[in-house]
Amino acid sequence: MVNADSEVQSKTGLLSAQIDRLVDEAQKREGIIPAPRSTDAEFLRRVTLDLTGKIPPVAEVRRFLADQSPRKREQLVDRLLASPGFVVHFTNVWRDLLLPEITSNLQLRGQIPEFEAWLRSRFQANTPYDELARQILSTPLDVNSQTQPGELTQDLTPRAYYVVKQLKPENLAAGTSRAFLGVRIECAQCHDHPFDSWKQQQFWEYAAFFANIEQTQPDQIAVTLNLRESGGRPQIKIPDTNRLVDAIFLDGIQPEWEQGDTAPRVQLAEWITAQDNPYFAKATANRVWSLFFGRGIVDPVDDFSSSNPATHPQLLELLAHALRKQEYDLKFLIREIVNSQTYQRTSRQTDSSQSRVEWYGKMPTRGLSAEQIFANLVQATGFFRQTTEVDPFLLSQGPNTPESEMRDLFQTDSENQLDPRATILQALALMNGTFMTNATSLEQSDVFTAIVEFPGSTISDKIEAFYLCTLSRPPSESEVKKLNAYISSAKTEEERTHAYSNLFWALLNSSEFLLNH
Amino acid sequence: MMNPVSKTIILVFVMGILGTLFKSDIQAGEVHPVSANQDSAQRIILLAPSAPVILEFTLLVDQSDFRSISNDYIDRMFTSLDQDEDGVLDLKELKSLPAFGIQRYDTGSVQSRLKRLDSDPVDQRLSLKEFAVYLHSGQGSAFRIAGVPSRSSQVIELFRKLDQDQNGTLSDAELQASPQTLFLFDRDEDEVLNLAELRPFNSDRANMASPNPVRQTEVETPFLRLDHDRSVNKAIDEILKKYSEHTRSEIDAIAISCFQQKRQDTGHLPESDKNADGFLNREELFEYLQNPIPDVQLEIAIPREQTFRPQLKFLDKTTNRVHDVQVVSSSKMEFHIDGLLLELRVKSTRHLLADNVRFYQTRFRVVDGDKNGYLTQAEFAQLNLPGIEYQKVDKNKDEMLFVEELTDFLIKDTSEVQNQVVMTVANDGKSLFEILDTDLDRRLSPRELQNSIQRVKDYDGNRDQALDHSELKGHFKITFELGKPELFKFAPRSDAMSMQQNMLIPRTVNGPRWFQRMDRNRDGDLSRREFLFDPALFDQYDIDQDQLISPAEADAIETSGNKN
Repeated sequence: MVNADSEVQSKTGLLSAQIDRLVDEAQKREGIIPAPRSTDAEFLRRVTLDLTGKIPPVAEVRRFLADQSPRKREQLVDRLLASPGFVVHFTNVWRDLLLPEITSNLQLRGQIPEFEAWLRSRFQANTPYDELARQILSTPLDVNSQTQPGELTQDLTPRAYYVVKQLKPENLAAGTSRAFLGVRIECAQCHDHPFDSWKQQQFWEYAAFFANIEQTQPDQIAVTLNLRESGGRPQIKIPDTNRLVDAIFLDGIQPEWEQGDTAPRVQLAEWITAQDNPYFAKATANRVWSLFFGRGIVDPVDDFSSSNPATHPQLLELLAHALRKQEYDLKFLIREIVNSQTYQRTSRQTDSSQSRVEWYGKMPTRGLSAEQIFANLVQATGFFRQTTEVDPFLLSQGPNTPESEMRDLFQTDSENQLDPRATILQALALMNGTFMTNATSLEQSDVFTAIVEFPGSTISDKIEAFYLCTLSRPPSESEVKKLNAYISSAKTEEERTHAYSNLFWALLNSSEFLLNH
Repeated sequence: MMNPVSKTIILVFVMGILGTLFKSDIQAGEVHPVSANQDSAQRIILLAPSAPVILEFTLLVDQSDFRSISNDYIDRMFTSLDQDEDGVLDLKELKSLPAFGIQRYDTGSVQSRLKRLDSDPVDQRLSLKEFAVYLHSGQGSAFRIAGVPSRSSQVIELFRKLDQDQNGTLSDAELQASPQTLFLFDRDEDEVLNLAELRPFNSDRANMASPNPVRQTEVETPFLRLDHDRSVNKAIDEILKKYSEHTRSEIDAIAISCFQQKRQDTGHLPESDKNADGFLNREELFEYLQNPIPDVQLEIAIPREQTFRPQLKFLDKTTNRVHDVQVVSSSKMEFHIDGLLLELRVKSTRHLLADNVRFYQTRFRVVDGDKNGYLTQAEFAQLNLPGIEYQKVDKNKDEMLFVEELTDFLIKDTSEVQNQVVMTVANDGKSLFEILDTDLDRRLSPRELQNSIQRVKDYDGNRDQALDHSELKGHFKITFELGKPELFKFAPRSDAMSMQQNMLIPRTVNGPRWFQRMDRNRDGDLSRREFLFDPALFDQYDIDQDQLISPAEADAIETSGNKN
């Protein structure tokens, strides 16, 4: 059953339409034949995954497919942007982006809960992104401000960003330039950049903004509450040389160090988020774009350089300009992107030209993060899971919980979402693991049992329910016909249950379930 | 016949006994405290359900007014004013005395100001003690009220979250809107709200790196201070908000009768109503609250450097709203105010100074890894002294912290902490969360939120169709003690509650098996979001149209299915 809506002009319209125009122009230039618009079911699944990190519940699928309103896609986007799922998902995304080190360093995982809580509070308040960046860059590093005798207070801070990078200026320079400016200047840490124009001196001049942070013993960093930062004009010595360099912005401009001046990191924060900063808006817009298309207009997203030009420079300029104009409201940009026809194209390839992914002829098929895979399994199978007090030290390697098992299996360091490859272990876990076995058994499973035993439902009803649970779409006519025959061929109740179990298992192991398309 | 020596002995003995009888209030180990000036009593207002109650505590620390305890800041300020360095501030030096926010002390000529402050001794000069009283009064720094949660469900402050207009009460409309208000807290989108979702970020957990929590969570209480002008104005705001049935908003005033309930003697209260309109506006209320008629008077004596047992005495009450006074011991008592039970006690924490110092002296030896007799900055970090920097303790800045320096610092620091009297208020009454959580699974389900209006009706003591804090919290445990070093502050049993929260919620047991399994959030009902089949069927099965399929309604489906 396929149900495609007619083309609808986006309500917010202007930026989405401009996005489409520029993409179409490039496609014409490159001879790309664009794929048609996605079906409602395809769009619903994709946008729910992209905005909330998991597939939609069955009731939402049914509601959306039955809705005849011509503006239902826009309304869906608005609903998802206002949901707690959006806050949680984007907290996860930005946490991974800002703290990539924590996946491999157990000791630093103690920093996760506070950082997540801080990020979550910012996304909940829809804090403008430039403000969020400023808060990270200029956060005070000593925890305690005494208010009354004997009482200490601690508000949420993004201090963990510094702790995770071990307070080292070079780590902070590399991290902040990648995250906020989209440039990989760390290649110039030891020598002039081999492929780009960055010089070693430039790297250390940028790192000098973090040089006033007093270094602590490596084993003390995570436990030290009072991270100190001295005042004054920051300088840093380039390792293995006698050269002492001052803090200078990447564009070569020297900050003004007057008496009683603003702290170096605050100055850096102001420069990075300034209206005329050539990097920040573009890097942000590019990164947001990549979240929805699997690749940036500049790709990799943190590698803006002369040797890595944008595929659609005008489009990038447009998005950056719009973001600045909307005062870095991320939800605005996200809304415009997902309301565009470019985003809403089907992922089914209808012409060979669409295989050139950088021209967005069709929506690319993307891998899912470990968190998303587990969240989808939870949604599809009814596995009971609730928000709990997080003990980050329980998130360790090894089979503690199904969640940590899945994370360990599916965690990937790959920056390329467009080429997800399942390992043998992953495939085996999905096919034969305890989680999957329980999910498809009458005794253990929730969703499976609920569907199979629901009174008064026909075989077709049950097949449809299984499809909606897993693939977020109804089965096609031919699928219904084949599966009906398969289930009906069972001679006993037990065999029939087994047949349903096989169906559920097959759906959960399908690439359609495990990918974002 | 007794000889003279024996007589003398017996006479002395009898005189001794008689003397003891005449001085029966002196008990072993106790020193009879000197009563402080009435003006220096600490007044508190309790926002009780039907009307405010004024409590007056005569607080004595080591026989002296609790505000007379000096500290570094006060010493420095006194020294800066004492131009002739004679240890007292005379009239001339008082011309530079700053205002600190108590109208009755800050206004008028220098002579009149001195007259008001010069209490003990009355000698036309301000001693350091009198100066300390003045500063503490102005800053409210000698006394603090700390609301302490005793359970996790109190930490989440559900009441405040639902009180959309922040008027201190929950109306039916606010309760009805609770699902929408709490929507964004449902992080896992399972339609139930558990403590982890509602709770503010648990910084104890975050400081896994530090064994000492850096935050002691505090909650609101219906007790407010009445000392400096700021606190009085805050109390006025709360009174006018809370007792809306007694107020006239157009004149921003409250009926005088609100303060007269069940009072034996209204005293000077009617005089406060300057314009004789039967209402006290802000100005009149402000003036009245500078010296209100206390409803209850207690005397509290806490030892600091002296040795005596802490004492709590019930002095007087002027209203029948205070009843069932029971003296449990010399330092404990309880009484009722309307329907609220107050349990009060006084504790001595003077030993904590020595305990705190001893603890860190022992730790010193442990963390001095290289056993060279002093601590480097890195070693000092392992002491985990909350909020204290090495540089502050290393007095001579030689980057070698010896135990003597540490001891000096700790004694001074702990003494500072103990400069304050803390009134800790814990409630053993039910929190709003507990009232609504009818199935006691530590979560709020859609049905429980639906039923919230009905549930709280029983607690609406004054039948004003709105719920306020004091109606919820029927049982207060109040402790008076000196401020405690951080080491001795214990967070509530939050970790225990956390563990309980992390325990699995069992599957629903009622209704047919398909229903139990479809109820994925295990709250005992099926919502539209959980329902896996045609929504038209949901409408059909939801017989009472409350947007939830109950186990009984699910059973009915089974039955009708069997019949067909």
